Amino acid sequence: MKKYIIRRLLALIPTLFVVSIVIFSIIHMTPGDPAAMILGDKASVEDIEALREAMGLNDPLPVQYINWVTGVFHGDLGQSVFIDEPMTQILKEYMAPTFSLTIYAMIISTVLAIPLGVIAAKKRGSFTDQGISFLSMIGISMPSFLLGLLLILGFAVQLRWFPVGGYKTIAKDGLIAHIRYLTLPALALGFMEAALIIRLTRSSVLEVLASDYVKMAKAKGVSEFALIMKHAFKNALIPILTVLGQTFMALLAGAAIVESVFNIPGIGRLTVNSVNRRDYEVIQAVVLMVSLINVVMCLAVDLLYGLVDPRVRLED
Amino acid sequence: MTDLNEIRKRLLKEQRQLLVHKFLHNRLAVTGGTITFVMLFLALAAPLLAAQGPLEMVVSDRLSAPSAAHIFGTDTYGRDVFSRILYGARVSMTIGLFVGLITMVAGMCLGLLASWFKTLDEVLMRICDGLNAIPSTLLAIAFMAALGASITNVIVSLSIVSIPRMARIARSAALVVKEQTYIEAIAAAGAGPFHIIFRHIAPNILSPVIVQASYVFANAIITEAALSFLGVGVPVPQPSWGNILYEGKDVIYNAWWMIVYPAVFTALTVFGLNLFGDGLRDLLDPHTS
Repeated sequence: MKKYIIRRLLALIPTLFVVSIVIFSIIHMTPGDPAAMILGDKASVEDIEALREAMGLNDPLPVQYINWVTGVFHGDLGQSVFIDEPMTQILKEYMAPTFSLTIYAMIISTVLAIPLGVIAAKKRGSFTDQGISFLSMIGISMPSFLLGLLLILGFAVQLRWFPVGGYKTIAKDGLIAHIRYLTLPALALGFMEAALIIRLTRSSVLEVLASDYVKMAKAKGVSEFALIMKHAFKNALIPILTVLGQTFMALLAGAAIVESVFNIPGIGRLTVNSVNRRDYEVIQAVVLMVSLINVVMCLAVDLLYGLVDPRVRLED
Repeated sequence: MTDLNEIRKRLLKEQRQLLVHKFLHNRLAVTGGTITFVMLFLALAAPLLAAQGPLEMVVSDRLSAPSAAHIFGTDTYGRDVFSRILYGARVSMTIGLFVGLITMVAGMCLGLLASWFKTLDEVLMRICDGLNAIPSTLLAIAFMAALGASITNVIVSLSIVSIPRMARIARSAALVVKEQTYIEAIAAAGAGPFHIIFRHIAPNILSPVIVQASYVFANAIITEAALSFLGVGVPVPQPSWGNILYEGKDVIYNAWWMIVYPAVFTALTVFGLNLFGDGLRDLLDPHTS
């Protein structure tokens, strides 16, 4: 296991190097001078020059890269042109709603999807199975922002059960308001992932059901319910667990768009606003942070997988 | 020789017929293919079907509900939503096709080369890992922020974010083919690596690559709509499904038709492409389904 962990950790180095190069390049991909792009058409030459100097754009590229990476290692993620706060503070503030939304969506998608997937597998080929499969097919074709808009139209504009958008914190407005404001966004965000989990659960339970040990259990008279819960589901859980890690990341990244639909002040909105204001350093910081969370998450899932399934860590 | 050639021709013909037969009996592929074909047709025939130009404004006719004159209603500027959706289909289809093609060609080349040259493999796969570590939507937004909103830039950004996965799929398929005896035989006969890779391995990895390309197509349509909806994709006033939705969001209390119709078109197209992809996969690549 120790060898496996070390191998995994070493593999991270090149990945992080590529990530850092890509994120560093974002600001240099702008057509023309980034400083001039940030300040707009009306800026004076002196202002542009001053900003260039402040951003370190006058240094040679390798020097800029090294400065940037050194900064990141020291917790300096750059400086927003528009928000006068340290970057880590900005990220912390905007991350809270995003995490709340992601976790809520995660709960919705798993609580809904796993039982549906098991039912579909159990009643394979039946009307119920086809219905569930059809639902998941629709889910896969329904991008979160589309579903979000349709949910607003149905449940907020027509029925008025939920607010059209906005965000309430638990600290100020209580848990009920917090959940009420996040329900539609979480549904919109979680639906597509739920669809994917339904499909995966179904196929992986089916696979286990077809295995010899389940046939054996059936032959010795294990009840249908115990068969599904104790034998099939438990063994099908390993691939499902791996996917949950990926789901969390997909939701976190997807939250960016859903937040814009529902006007939730999370990192997604921060990113979109920063794009419109050409506040490149904020964009870099957000992409960096989300990528790091992703990398750590993947590592955790890999290690967990290695722990659960010895075949994984003994490979190559 | 002529006899052999004739037999070969006949066999090829039979193979083709079998494939067509199998395709027509695959409900998923047929349904998905039909939907995709209809969308492509609507996109191509947009100038013939649209009653009004997609940018033509009739100020007296703002935000009118669907009627005989405007079957999908009109938007904030009195533009016909139906014709904007038709022209939007052109934008979506163009972006989807280009991203699908570029990703397929580039991903396949990279995957093939990586499967043959060991050092290149290490470098390319580490680059792919790095790109995969950044969530693709976020990366696309960041690229668009730097490059600026335009259709070409949407195509470039979406291709960059889709290539790594395609390269991986092509590579793993190529690694399997590479171990086959006939490749060994061709190599032993003295064929150069490029000849082997592009003439003998490439045709045998097409199935998974084409299937993946259909998903890339669908995904490009979704992401384009999302980027435009966020205001960083196709610049306004160009009609694109995301742009119609973006403008529709501001008048969601008054004009449901600006949300529902583009949403249905986007979802239906993606649904069709996904079905088509699933069908193709069952047809071409039965092991993975």
